[in-house]
Amino acid sequence: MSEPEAAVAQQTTELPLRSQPNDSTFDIVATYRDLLASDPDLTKPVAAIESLIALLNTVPSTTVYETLDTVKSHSDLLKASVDNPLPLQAGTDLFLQYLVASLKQQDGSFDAVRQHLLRNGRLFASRAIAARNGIAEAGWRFVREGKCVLTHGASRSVTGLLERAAKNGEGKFRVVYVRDEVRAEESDRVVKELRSKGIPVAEIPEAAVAHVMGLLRQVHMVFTGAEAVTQNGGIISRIGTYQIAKLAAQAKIPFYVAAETHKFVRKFPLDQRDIGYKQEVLDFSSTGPSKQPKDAVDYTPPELISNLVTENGVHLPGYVFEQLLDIYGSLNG
Amino acid sequence: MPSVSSGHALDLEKFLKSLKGQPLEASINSLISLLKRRQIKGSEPCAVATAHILLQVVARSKWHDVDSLLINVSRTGRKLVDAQPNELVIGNIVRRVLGLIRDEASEDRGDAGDESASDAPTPTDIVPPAATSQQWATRRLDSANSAAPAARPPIVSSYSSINPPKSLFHLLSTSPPADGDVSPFRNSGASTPTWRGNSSQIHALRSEVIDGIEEIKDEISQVDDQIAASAEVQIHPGDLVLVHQPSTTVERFILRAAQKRKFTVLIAVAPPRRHSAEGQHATFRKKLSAAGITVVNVMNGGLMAYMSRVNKVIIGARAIVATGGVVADAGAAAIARAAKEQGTAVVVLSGVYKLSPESPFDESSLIEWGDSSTFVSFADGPLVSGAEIRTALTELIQPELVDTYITNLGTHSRDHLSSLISDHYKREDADFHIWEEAEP
Repeated sequence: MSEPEAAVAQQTTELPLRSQPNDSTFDIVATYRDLLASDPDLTKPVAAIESLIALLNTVPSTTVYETLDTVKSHSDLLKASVDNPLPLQAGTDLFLQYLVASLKQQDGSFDAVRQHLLRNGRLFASRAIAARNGIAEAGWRFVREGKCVLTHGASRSVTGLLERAAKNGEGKFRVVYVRDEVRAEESDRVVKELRSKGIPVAEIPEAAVAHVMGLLRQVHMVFTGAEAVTQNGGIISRIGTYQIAKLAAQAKIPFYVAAETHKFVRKFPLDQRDIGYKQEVLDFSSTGPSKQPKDAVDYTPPELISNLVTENGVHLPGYVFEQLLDIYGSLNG
Repeated sequence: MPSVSSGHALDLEKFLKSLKGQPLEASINSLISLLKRRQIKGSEPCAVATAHILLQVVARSKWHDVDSLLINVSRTGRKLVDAQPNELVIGNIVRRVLGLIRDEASEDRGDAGDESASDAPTPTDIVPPAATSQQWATRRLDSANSAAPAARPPIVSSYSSINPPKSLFHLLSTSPPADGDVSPFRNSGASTPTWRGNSSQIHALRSEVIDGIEEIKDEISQVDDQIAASAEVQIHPGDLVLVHQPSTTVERFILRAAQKRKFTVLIAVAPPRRHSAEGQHATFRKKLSAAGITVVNVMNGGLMAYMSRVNKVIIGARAIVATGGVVADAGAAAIARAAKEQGTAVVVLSGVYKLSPESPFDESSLIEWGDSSTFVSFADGPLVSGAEIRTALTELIQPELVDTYITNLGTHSRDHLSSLISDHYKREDADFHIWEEAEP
């Protein structure tokens, strides 16, 4: 696992606080992209947090409020640099709130908080990865012998959970994988990975989902990941999730979402139009083929979700609200 | 039948009486066989018996520090759970007692807020020795059941769900990197050096834990009364209330309301069985009539016909699982669904001790199958040899069908159950019955 330079620096140096006092040259967007590219295990919220830590490393420690302002402005920069800001917002909000909360607790010992953050950059990342194992541990018992799981996308939480269930020795469950022909390579990779663990996989096209669910007792549950979990317990996830959830609800098949708690975000989508950014899925054209956005997402409302499987256990969608209220105190994003 | 018939109550009483005169091992074994033979059945008797036997374990088993006490309690608990896995309350009581021991132990050391886990020992030195587990395995009386634990898969991964973080801040928190890989005996293990051999402390802990278990026993005995306290709020004058095979909890609830209100009760009864006494719930009907309440028995069959006139459906739970699903007497789920169809409110009555932190990973394992000889005479040779007759005693009511849960702590919605669970059970005890499954 290769580590980004910034992280190495902050881990090895004892007191790297005032090493690079030039704020203007720090490019948070590039840092974020480097981090994501260098470590395939990193999730977007955690990469955002790591970038902000790298930012703290470069700016001089002046006053608390100045630092908070810098963090805020760079968070906004970061969010503006990507199409879908929600996963990042989960990370940046958490980071900012952590700063504020720990300053309140520790009598304003700002340097102590800073040093803690700067020194433990890698720890946070490893905790985030441990959280994924925690999800597998919390949820694999849903996948019992003789069951059949339908999934799509390339959620690492879901594949981790399925692999954990396969490791159980029984390995007698089956997986229906919904292929995404736009991302044939990714689908091939996930299917290959699952098959390498001895899991029988049936690949189906997206158009066959309703039919397969209609074959009685052939699919017992749906597992899917999420890019972000909204405060009402819904999820923002790879496009296609919503229709699978709707079909599952129609067929009375339980729909489980495997997501780490650091993906919880203060956002209350009202419907598909309100996913937090502008996404042009409809491209009307009479001359050429329509264009599709690259990483399109959709919103799955909490009514369609049976349970959230987090590293803290299996919960109802209402759990998100409790947890967010617990640390933010209010929910006005 | 949910209402405890006299024969079973007798078995529980007999068992409780026998506790004093017998050695601990014998008591545990006799409880296990009573549970297996269903001579002690129903949530309340099982809970009471479990609390009693755990009290004996705390009082009489050999332990010299908190860890060994936790191990003793969880081992006994596991044997009981294995003996009757359908009765979720057994596991609940064991978890309550384990949580109690942890609380008392951390209080005694004067560090109630030991969330930091900064002094957590390495996991290796507190794993229960394999030798004792082995010994325990051979002690089992019933060899037929020894295959049961093997069916449950062992936990292999290093990250267990036993001690997960609570807050979202965990990701950034200041605790050292030791987290994520901690044994369930973490909290108590910290105390090992000072605890060992200090008999006065052990004595104090023992009596505190025993007091705590006595409190749990009191709680169980008061549950029906406390639930009945909200009866007047729930039942209004002129209501038409439907109850399904009323348990003692439901009976108390209705009778309490009957003291002040005039309403009508429909009792949905199970289809008649052979040998069953004439007139089901006769004493309950008599008491209600004495209070001036109109009572109607309806067959479980044509409930949809009544449902349009019913204001409220009241169901007594055998257990509630973490998602809000309710384990109830067979037939209740159909009633709940009929009620949902008509928009009738479905109220579930249950003591908090019946609320289980377990998720229903496998619904079929929660269903209890009963004795089909109540429907078919064993003398009917062609039928006995020619047909398989099954009868489910319990079933799971889907949480979507339930509107309100009433416990001894008040009235709750489905979303509130998770905080009740976290108030009553410690996370590290949630999976106590599979802690030691890595053993061969």
